[in-house]
Amino acid sequence: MTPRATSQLSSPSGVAAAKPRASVDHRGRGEGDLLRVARRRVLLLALSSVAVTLVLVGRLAWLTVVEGERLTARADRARLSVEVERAPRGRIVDRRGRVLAQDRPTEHLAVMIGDLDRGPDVTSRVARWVREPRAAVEARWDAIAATAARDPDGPPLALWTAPSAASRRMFARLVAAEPGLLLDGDDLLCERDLLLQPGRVLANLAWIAGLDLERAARTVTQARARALAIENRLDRQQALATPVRLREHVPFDVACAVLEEAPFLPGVVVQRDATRHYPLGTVAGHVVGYQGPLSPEEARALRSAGKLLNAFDGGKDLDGALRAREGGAFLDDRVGRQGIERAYEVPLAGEVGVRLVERDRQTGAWTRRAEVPTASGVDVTLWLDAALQEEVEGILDEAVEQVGALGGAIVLLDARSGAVYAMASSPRYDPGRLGQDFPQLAIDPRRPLVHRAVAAALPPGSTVKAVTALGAIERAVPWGVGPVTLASEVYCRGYLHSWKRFKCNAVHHQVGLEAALAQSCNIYFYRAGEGLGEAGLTYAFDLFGLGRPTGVDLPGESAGLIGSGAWKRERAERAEVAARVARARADAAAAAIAGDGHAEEAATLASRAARAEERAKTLRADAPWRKGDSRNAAIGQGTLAATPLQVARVACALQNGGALVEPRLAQPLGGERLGPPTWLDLDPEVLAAARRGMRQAVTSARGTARRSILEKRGSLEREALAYFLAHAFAKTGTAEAPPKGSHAWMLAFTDTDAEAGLPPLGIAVVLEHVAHGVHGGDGAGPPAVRALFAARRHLGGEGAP
Amino acid sequence: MSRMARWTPMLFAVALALAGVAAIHSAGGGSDGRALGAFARSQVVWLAIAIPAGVAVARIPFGWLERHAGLVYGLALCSLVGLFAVGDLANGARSWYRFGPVRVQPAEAAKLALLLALARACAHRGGPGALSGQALWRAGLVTAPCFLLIAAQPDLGTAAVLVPPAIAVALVAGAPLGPLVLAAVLGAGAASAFALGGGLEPHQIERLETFLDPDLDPLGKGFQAIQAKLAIGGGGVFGQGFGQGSQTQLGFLPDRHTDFIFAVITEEWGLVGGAVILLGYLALVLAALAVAWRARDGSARLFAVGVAALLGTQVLVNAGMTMGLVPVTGVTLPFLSYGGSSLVTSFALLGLLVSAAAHRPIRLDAIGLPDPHVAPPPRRDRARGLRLR
Repeated sequence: MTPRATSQLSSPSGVAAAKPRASVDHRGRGEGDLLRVARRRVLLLALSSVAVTLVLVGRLAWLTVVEGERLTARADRARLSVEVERAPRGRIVDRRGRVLAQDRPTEHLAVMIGDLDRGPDVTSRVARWVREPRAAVEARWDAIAATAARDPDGPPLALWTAPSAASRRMFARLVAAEPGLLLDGDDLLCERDLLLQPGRVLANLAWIAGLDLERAARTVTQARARALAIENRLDRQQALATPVRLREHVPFDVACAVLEEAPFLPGVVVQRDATRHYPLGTVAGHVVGYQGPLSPEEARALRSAGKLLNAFDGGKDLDGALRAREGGAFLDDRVGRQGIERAYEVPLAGEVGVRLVERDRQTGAWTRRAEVPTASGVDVTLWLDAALQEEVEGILDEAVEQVGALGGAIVLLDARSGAVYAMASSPRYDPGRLGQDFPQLAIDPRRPLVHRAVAAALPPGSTVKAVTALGAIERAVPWGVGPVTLASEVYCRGYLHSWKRFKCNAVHHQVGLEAALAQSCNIYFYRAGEGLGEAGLTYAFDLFGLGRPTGVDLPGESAGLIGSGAWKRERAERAEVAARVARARADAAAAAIAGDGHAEEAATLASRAARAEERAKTLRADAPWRKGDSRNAAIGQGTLAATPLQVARVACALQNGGALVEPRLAQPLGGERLGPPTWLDLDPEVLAAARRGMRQAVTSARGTARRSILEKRGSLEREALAYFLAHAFAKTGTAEAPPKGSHAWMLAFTDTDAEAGLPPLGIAVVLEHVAHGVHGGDGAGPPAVRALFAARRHLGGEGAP
Repeated sequence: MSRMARWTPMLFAVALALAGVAAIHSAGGGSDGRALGAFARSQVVWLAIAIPAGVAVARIPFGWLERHAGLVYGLALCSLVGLFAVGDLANGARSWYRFGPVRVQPAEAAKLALLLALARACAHRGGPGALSGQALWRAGLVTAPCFLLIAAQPDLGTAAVLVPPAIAVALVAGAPLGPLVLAAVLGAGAASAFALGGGLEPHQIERLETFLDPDLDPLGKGFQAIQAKLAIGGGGVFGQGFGQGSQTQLGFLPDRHTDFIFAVITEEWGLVGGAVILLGYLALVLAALAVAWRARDGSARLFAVGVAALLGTQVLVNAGMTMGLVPVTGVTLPFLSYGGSSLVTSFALLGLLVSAAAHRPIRLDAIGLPDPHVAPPPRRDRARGLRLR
């Protein structure tokens, strides 16, 4: 303020005071009063403007400080999204790096139904003329198109009502240009055909990708109708933003063509995905296994555990997504169901990546803000040699065919470490073609889906005789006048008491341990089994790992069985319950029939019940553990059952001086060494004697293995036979398979072959339900000979672990 | 008032306008990189036109303008009427003239003309008995055509902004408070009857509904209100930093360089920045009121009051809608929002304010007539003097 201004402001009052009132208004207010009133009211305005400012600043402070956090969180929620990305699945490779299973990229064509254009380009023009957002008109179009999809033959549907005369004129022009549109007063109507017409983009896509346009249009319309039927607005938006697949596994060049035209195909997306590929087909099919979709129960469990990843796809819950990284899965994930695919599901699957992305609302571009990258699945390397496996499978298939067996298995282990070099099972399947082949495989009476090497528990026959003998000598069971020793012998006259039961395969006269093993004399082992009894036999078999899973890294392993009194009683009880159930059913059926029709069924049920009762009676009578049971179990019959893998492990234990190895298919993932085997603490002298006996089975003229294999020498390569005769230790086995027929077994092992650079190997061969007249030696012997020789050729020079 | 002091409001306005340029630059510089600062550049150009225009207007003698206020107002009304014939339709309203690439909003100029007309109509002239009782209906009569023409565009927000200046002018002109309050109540009643009676356009009803509950349709009509609030909330005390506002930079904030520039400012500069801007406006309004306080001529005083009330109302409505206090309307923030018409008119308004501050009426007392602008001597009877009735 300058002094002059101040004086001007303050002085007039003095002047006015001196003056008389010139005039007053009707209320007697003078002009001076008027100025005062005006100034007072200006002051009032000033005060109110200060008050308004205070209110505004207060509101600002409230929003920024008090509500700031909540509003920021809400803004972040709108702006940020959580994306979950699948990790590439690890490969399965053999010891030489040959791929047995791997992911192969594949492309699918999909459309975002919310973004795809609708029919002819009507919506955008209508939106412009009625001055509404295009999305509003499109939503209305979708709604009536959904109605049209449900009932394509109805009357035309109203799309929009003209809000003004101007837009009505525009509608009239539109109707003139576009057949299928009608004008009814102010209402723009659409023929149902027009509503169901595919859009230009869809038509172009169909032309490029060779799709059936009509079907694609139907799919899109139906998907839109479904999405629009959703009540909840957010869910509806989510549904509209979900891509709908039009065609899966499109050829690569088609995917490329679509991507090239992408700028002209708004709303079309090419989804990248991976399918599992098994390049070697049936080779090691059982071992590699296969994948399958999540079952509804698994999906439910995942959902309740908060581990279902679809919920986070485009979702907002970052913490939830991060928590679900471990053990989470997408609803459409395929997970390992069998074989290595299942056993190593977790390392193979890897861990999903989680990304926090920020959306630019204008450009629609996404920027990564934070990321936990995907952890790719680990490659699982097997000890298996694919070439050896293929050859062994060929050998097995041939043998199965020759002897007319139902199936068979060969397990070839490293005797020191338990590494599986070959594990063949016949018949087989191709995991890559399981989708097409499954129905047939499932009803095949030979049950190709069963992995016989680990899941088939069969009586092992004479192959366990060494186990019986070792157990008897270690326990020093009574043998005539004194306890049994290495030198103890028995006299074989061809049978024990009578010809009917407990016979031997020949008259062996005086036999000791070695000769009994070499010639597979049953009498010696009957004696040993009698001495051992129920408890002793269980001890001996359990010592060599029978009756319990080996712990191999494969799912679905059978434990096998060591029969006992308790088990027999249980079996009898089960049979009795089954018989009672069968009888009750038969009775009910008999009561229900009024005569015709069901009579046949009732008769079947009755005979079934009778059979069950018969069986229950037999088993009840047989329930106590008898001496005969001990004798049978001692030669691997009756109540004993073992898998080929368990038998192969017995072979390894005999080879390596009494160590029970843990069979392993996959090499350790972290590079660690295999765990130490379990030492059985056997008397080395007894073990050596057993080995000698099994060697004699190959070398001595009366040896079971030698005899039967030489019978079949015509079918064997000379070198293979020579190699076997020079190096192998073997024990044949012919197990009776009630009610008739038999399984042919061969257990064999070789010592370290320094010359060929070959590790010690243990092998078990079984042919299941062979034709009549085929024995362990002549049936399972030749494939064992050939497999061992194949191993020498493929693994020679390896050194191996 | 000293020669320099007269220019104070103009200086505040320039400061606000520069802050506005910065905010527009930031708002226009989205992450897409396209059109970086294009709006800001254009705003600078407009500023380069508007400030000299304001200075030039300040040279026009207020007395001369006041004498021709009727003509000016008449022209403005004509331009508003002309809109219905050749106006450019945008966002469902005819509010613009299009001259090639330039669009002009006559409502902005009409505001200026209305203030002049109000000042002239309500100012005490001749006998004092003619004054106070007439101020109210005179103000109403003068404002009505302009209000109705703008409301019919339809642009109810801009029209509504004219009401408080009219009331303020009538108030300061000495209108009796009783009828003033009565008129306000009647006006509000008539407005709600109009609204409830279906006089509102559908989009106006929707705006009101979404104001009452923005979450009713968060992606549709309530979107702006919600996003603006979110932007402000994200600003915190010190803001996210210039060019760093996530709502602004990622394009979530609609109309961010025009109607919602205040949200940009608070998101990037925080409570502190927003408060400084609001205080800047307060200072501007107070400076205008100071002109009114010191004016020695009735019409100059009323004009200054009108300017203060108009600016204050615009700030209240714009900042209020940004912060969710009033419904969303198309009212811009004077000096800050992007837009040439608004900028030029606003500076012209301040130019007139400067001119009004400098206005020296003929000293009536010097020629022997009673001077109404000379304050009376302090009365003995204070109590009676304070009574307004």
